[in-house]
Amino acid sequence: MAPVMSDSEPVPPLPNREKTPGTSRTLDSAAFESLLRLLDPDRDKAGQRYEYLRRKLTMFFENRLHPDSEHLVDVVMDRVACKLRDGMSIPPVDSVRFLYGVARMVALEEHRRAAREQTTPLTWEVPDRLQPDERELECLDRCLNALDPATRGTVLGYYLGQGSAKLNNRTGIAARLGITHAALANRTWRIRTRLARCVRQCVEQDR
Amino acid sequence: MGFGTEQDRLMLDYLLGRLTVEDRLRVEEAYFLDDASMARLEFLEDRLIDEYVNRELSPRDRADYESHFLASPRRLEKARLSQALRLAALRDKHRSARTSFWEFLLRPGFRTLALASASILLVCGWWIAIQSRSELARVREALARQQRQPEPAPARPVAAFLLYPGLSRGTAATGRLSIPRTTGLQVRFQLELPEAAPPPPYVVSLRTEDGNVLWSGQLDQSTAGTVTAAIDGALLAEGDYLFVLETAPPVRRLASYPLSLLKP
Repeated sequence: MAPVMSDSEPVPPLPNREKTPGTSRTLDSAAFESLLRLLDPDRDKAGQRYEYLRRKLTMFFENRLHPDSEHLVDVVMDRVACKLRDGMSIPPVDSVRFLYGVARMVALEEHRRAAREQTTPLTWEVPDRLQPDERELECLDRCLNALDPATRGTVLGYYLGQGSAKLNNRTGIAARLGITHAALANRTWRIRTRLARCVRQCVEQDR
Repeated sequence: MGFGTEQDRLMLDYLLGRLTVEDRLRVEEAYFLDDASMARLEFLEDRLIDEYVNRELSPRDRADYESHFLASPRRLEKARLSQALRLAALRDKHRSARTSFWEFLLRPGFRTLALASASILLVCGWWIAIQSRSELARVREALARQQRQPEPAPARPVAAFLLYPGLSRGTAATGRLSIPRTTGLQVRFQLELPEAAPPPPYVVSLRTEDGNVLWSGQLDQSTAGTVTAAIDGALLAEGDYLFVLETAPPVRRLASYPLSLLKP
């Protein structure tokens, strides 16, 4: 059965971490609620904002080649949440700048730790890992079938063709939908994000 | 990878790990503080993945992509998803093409067209059959005329048959050929040449059922698209035979004529 997909981002649950390595603080629901309140008074919007900021942090750590970016994103979020819970006042308008500052600090700490421990850099083999396996393709089929036909057509059309044929194809889709190229790219990005989540759930479900 | 603005180029270099520390901080601050910059960066990230999967990156971009960009498990997952979507899109396209083909065949317009074509074919087939039949009648008549003409000083009785490639017909139009047990009988087999036959000479052989050559000869002349092999009737027993028509050396088989002989 295909996982159910929803368009709206749910409010994130409290991350399941008793104690985050790299902090001396314990994340609890109070700290997490403080963080959400900082991001937006509306809880749903705060949840969306939280996810969006996680994306920015992930981008940040990935580009600094940290092997475990997701973990470092947790460290940053936990650290800011605990500071808020412990009474630090951060004006909402400065919240993102503050987050960025903490992220740079965590990155620096991680860099020093890696140098101290002489951590081996990541190695990877590109070609094999790029090929989706049968299971993933099956799951993708299921997830594509769970989309409404128009959305499915848009995303599949977007990936059709190469070079100028691909560009022409995308121009055609954008014209048919009455949107710009950039808007089409954004729309496809959103669909793909949903698909990625769906495929991940599907693959894990079947394991 | 082509980009419209300097900012795009800077972001691409950021994604590929080519920036100085100062420029990197500039890009980071930009996308942290400005959601539009983040959206642009994500868009470029997707485009980079897309072009990598489609093998559209320059060699330099590709090398940096593999050495820097793909270090992230998340990006690797995105690249795999892009690859999978590309495959799915291709499959979907082929499936739609097949479906459209069948839909086209089942369309009422196409059905009418198919019916009309079938009718035309039927009429043509009927016309060809009529033509063939009259041609056959003409040949038979010519043969009968030939038979009616007095043989120049026939020294011996003759039985004649007209054979077509792949099949045999006697003058009586039966499937099996009957030859009388007359002493001294000469049996003439007139073999119709196949359409693409080169000019004579030809080598004709008569073979028994088990492949032994009973008779063979070189025929240097053809008449009205036929060649004639004259064989002593005493050589022919009841049974199945095969005439083989070949070119004179270098040998190339042109046609064969199976036949069954009866000696009532």
